[in-house]
Amino acid sequence: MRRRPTDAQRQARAACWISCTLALVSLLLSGPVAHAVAGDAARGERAFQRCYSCHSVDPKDAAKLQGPNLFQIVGRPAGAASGFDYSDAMREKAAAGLTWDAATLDRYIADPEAVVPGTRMSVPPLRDEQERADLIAYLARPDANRR
Amino acid sequence: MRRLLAFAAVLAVLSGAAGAQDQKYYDLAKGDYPHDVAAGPSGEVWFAGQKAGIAGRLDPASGQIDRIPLGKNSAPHGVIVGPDGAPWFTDGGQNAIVRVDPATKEVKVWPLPPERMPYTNLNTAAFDGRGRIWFTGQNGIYGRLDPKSGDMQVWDAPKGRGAYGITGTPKGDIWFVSLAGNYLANVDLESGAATVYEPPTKDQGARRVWSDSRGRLWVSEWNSGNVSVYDPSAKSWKQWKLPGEKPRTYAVWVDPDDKIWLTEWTANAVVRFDPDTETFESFPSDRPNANVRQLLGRKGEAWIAESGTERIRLIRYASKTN
Repeated sequence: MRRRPTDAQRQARAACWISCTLALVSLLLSGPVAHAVAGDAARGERAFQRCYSCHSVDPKDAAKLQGPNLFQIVGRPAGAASGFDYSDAMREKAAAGLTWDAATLDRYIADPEAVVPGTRMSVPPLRDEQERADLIAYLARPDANRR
Repeated sequence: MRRLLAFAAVLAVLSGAAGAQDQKYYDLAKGDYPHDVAAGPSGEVWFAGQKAGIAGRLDPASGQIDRIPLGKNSAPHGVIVGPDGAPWFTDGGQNAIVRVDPATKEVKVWPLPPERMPYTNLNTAAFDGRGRIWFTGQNGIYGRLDPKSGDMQVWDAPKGRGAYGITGTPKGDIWFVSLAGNYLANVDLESGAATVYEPPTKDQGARRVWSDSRGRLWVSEWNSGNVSVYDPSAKSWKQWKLPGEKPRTYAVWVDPDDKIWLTEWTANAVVRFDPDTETFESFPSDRPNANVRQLLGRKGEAWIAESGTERIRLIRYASKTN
């Protein structure tokens, strides 16, 4: 025989439901989450066309491009590409400990100014979460960085 | 050293000489991110709202701004006003050339052929003397669209990626520069073949280009911090370093008086160069990190897109032309 819940139990359940809902809404509003979507490195190579004019992933590429070489970028501290002349804005973020983990890269690709105000990087917004995940998967794949 | 100090003093006097009464800033909606700007024939000013995917139309008199969506995934980089008086956009997000009818606001889209390159990173455009629009794509292409027939041709740029600014001369010729390729190029208007002209400074980073009234090509050099000029009739180059420590010259526009307007990122300023006196005049922004990627204007008015502050800036200047 099931007992009817007391008023206190009903209030506790309602409080739990509200707090869980708020937590979910907060999560959804907190911006892109890199691991929410699994990336496909093969598709990411195609997505890299968005970056290609300013970045290389070939460590031997000697071309003087507008962006730093992205070889092994995932997990690397910001502003660490040897010999690249970073903006003051990026230097300041680097000094503050910015690191290109997957989640930070995801936010940066979605809106560079939001992560590094004053950055020189200007890129059409990559709004598609899946495409960003694919791109990061490509950048994280060791063999993709040795074309 | 004495010479340097004297030069610095002159520059300081000239800095901001236009005066606050000769300048105006227009705030845009947050997220519009004006990349390029162009002055229209009826006094209106158009801007490419890259992050918002819109064509912006500013009425300078009233300050009213119309925002016209250009399409799904739109992210316009460049805008120019064509001989038809309409704004034409190079839309990287749609990988297309886009025209907005200034009267009806109708949007017409000409996509690039996707089989060649699905994403070309379209940069800027210019009209030739035959009513055709030429464009560059930073991933290493340039192309031509005939709006009447819809015929579009796309070619590989010399040295691959980097094709950036493009301009038409008074005669109707087309020239473009390559930021990663470090060159200026002239195209054959029919065959599309590009002839490369290397500026004297190695790895200079030729970013944008504009023609003066005599058909000389003025180039803003990002890496070297120079402004350089190529004279096709004399086949000669000349260049000047912008003032200050480690200048970064981004954009160039030549006004109807043949004075050279540039944007310089280290000083966060618009800089005007007088080729006759070989002197620079600086107009710093009133806010940091203005990040001006392009400027364009008309007689007596320089219009400036501040991508970093999301504002359009106007500098009025005394023009000698009638």
